[in-house]
Amino acid sequence: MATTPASAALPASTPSSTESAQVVSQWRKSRGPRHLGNQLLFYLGVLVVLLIALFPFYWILRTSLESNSEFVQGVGGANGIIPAHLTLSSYIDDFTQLHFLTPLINSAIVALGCTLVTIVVASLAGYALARLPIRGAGVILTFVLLAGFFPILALVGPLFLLLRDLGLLNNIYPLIIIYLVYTLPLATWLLRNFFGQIPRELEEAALVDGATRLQTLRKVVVPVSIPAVFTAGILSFILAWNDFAFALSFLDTPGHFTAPLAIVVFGQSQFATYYNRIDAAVVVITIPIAILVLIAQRRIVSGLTAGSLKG
Amino acid sequence: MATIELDQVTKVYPNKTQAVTQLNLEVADGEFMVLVGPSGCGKTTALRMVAGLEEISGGTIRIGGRVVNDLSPKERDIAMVFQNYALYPHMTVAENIGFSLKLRRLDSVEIKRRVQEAAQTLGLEGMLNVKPASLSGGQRQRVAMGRALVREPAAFLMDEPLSNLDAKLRVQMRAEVSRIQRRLGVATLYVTHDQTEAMTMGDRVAVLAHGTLQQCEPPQILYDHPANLFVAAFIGSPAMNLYEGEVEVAEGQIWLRLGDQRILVPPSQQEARPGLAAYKGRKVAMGIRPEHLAIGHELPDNPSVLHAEIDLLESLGAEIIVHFRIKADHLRPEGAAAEGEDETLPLTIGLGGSDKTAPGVARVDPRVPLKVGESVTLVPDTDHLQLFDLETGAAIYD
Repeated sequence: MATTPASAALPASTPSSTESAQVVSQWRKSRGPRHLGNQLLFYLGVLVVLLIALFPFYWILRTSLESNSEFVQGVGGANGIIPAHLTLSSYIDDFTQLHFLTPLINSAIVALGCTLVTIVVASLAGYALARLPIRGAGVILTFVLLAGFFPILALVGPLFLLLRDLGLLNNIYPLIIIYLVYTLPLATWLLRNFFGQIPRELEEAALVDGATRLQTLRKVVVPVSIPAVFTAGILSFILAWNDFAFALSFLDTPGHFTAPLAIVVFGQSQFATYYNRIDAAVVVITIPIAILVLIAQRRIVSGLTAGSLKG
Repeated sequence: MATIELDQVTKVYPNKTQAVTQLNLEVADGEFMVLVGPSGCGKTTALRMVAGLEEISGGTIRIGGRVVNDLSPKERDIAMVFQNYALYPHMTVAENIGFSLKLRRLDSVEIKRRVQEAAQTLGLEGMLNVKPASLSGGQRQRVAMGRALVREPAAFLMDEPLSNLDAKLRVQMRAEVSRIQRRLGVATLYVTHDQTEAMTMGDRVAVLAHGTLQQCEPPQILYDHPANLFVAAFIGSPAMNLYEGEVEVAEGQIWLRLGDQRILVPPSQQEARPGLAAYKGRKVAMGIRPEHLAIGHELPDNPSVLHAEIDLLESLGAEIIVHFRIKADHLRPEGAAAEGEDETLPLTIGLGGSDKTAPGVARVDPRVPLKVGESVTLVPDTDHLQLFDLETGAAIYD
C-alpha cells in the first residue's frame, strides 16, 4: 500500500476526535457522584431555609382556614398540620360581622394617596438634587437620610399634639401626609440616585436632536425612569399600607381604622382571642402586597439604562 | 450645507478655569475638520460650545453664516455623535434614528423612508426593531451615526465617536465615517485625542493645547512643517526625536552641535529658514522624525552623521523601530508622549563617557542586521530637519 502521508492523516483524525469525546465523558462520570452530592446538599440547604422562612406564613394560612370551634379546641388529634376541616368561615366573619371592608378601603385611600404624593414630590426633588447645581445638595441629602432613620415613635407625640390642635384626630386623610415620613426619604434617595445615573449625554442627545427642555424630560428622562418611579411607588405603598404606630395613635373609632389597626381588635372577645379571624384578615391584607412585590420583581431597578451607552 | 466659524471663542468655567482661549477656526462647507489634542486641552469644550451644550464666555460662533451664540441646540440644526453613543434605551433602533424627525413632525412615511435609508448606509437593516441593549458596541456606534445622518443637518459634530471601539473595528469605522462624510458633504467637526484618526480622517487638522490653537493645516503639512514644538512632538508615532543643539558657523557653513557631534545644516534648510542666521551661537531645538534617520556608514562626503548606541529593537515586520541613545541634551516637551504611550524608555547603558545621553527612535529597514548594545552610525536626512526656538517653541523660519 502506497498511501501518502497526507491521505493517511485524514482518516486518523476521526478516531482521535471520538477518543477525546470519550475522555470528556469519562471525566464527567468520574466527577459525577461528587457533583450530585454537592447538588443534593445545596438543595437540602435551600429547603431548610425555605421551611424556616415560609412556615409562619403557612401557619397563618392554616389558622385562617379553621372554624371557631376547631380553633378553640387547639391543635391536636385530627386537627394537625392540616386542619381537620377547611372552612372559609373566618373570612366570612371578618367581612360580615366585623365589617373588614371599611378599614380595607381606609387603608387603600391612605396608602394610594400617600404613594401618589410621594412619587410627585420625590421625583421632582430627586431630579433637582441629581441635576441642578444646588448649593448644599449633599447636606440636604444627608438630612433626608437622617429623617428616614428617625425613630417613628419619637414622632408620634409631637404629631399627636399637632393633629389635636388642628382638630384632625380620628381622621384618615391627615395620614396621607403623615405617612410621607416613611416614604419620602426612601423614595427621594432612590429616585435621586437613579436620575443621577441617567447619563447626561442622553438628555444632551435629545436636545441636539431638536427637543426642548420639557420634551427632553417627557420623552427621554421620564420613560427611562419609569421603572425606578414604579419601584419607589411600590415601596411607598407597602410602607404606608403596613403602618400601625401612627394609625394606633391618631385613630380611635373603628369606622376610621386602617386595616392593620382593625385586625388587632378583630379577634378580641371577652373570653378568647380568635386568631383564626386575625389570620384571615392578615391573609387578606397580604394579598395586595404580594401582588405588588411580584410586579416589582419584573421591574428591578438595575440594568434599566442597559444599552444606552457603551457597556 | 453650511460652514462652521469660531471667532475668538473663549470659555471660562465658573471656577475660573480657562478651557478655551480665543479660538479661531473655520470649517468650510463639506470639510472634515479634526480637532485633536491631549486630554483636557479644551477640544470637547469647543465642540460642546458649537453644539450649544455649553455656554460661550466670549467670541462668536456662526453656523452657515448665522450667529448661534444664544440659540438652543435645537435651533442650530446640527447633529452630534457622542463618545458613549447616548442611545435612548427605551426606543428601538428605528425609533432612535427617527427621533429627531419625529420631533420635527415629519409624516411617518417620510420618517420610515429616511430611517431605512440611513439603516442601509450603515448596514443596520436587520436590527431596526431591537433595543440598543441587545446590540454590540460596533452596532451601537452605527446607530449613533445613523441618528446623526438621518437629520441631513447643517453640520456634524463628533466627540471621539470611535474611542470606545476595539482596535480592529475602529480602523474599519474610521474609513466608513470618512466615506459617509464625503458622500454627504456636510461640514464636520470631529474631536479626537488619537492622532492616527486625525491624520487619516481630516481634510484639515487643528491641534489644540491648553485651550489654545497650535496649528490648523492639512495632515501632511502638519506632519512635515509643524508650527511649534508641541505640534512636532504630538503629531507622529513614534514621536519626532527632539534634542537641544547649538547653531555654529564654521568653514562657511552652518552646523548644529549636539553634544560632541555636529551635523551640517544644508543649503536647502538655510534657504527655507532665513531666520536661522539670527541664532548663531545660540541653542535651538532640533527635531528629526524617526523615518529620516538611516543606519549607515561614515562617508567622507557626508559630514552629517550621528553616533548612537542601540537600546532596544522592535520589529514590526515591515520595519524595525530602533531605540537608541545619543550623547545630546534631550528635549521632551509636553505632548511628546501620546496618550497610552509608555513614557519610560529603557535605561541607558551609557556611551562610555560620563556625558548625558538622550533617547531617540529610528525606523529602519528590517533587513539591516542590528544588535542591542551595538554602536551604530545614524545618517539623518538633513533636508527634513526641524528647528524651533527654545523659548517660544515656534518653528524657525523667517
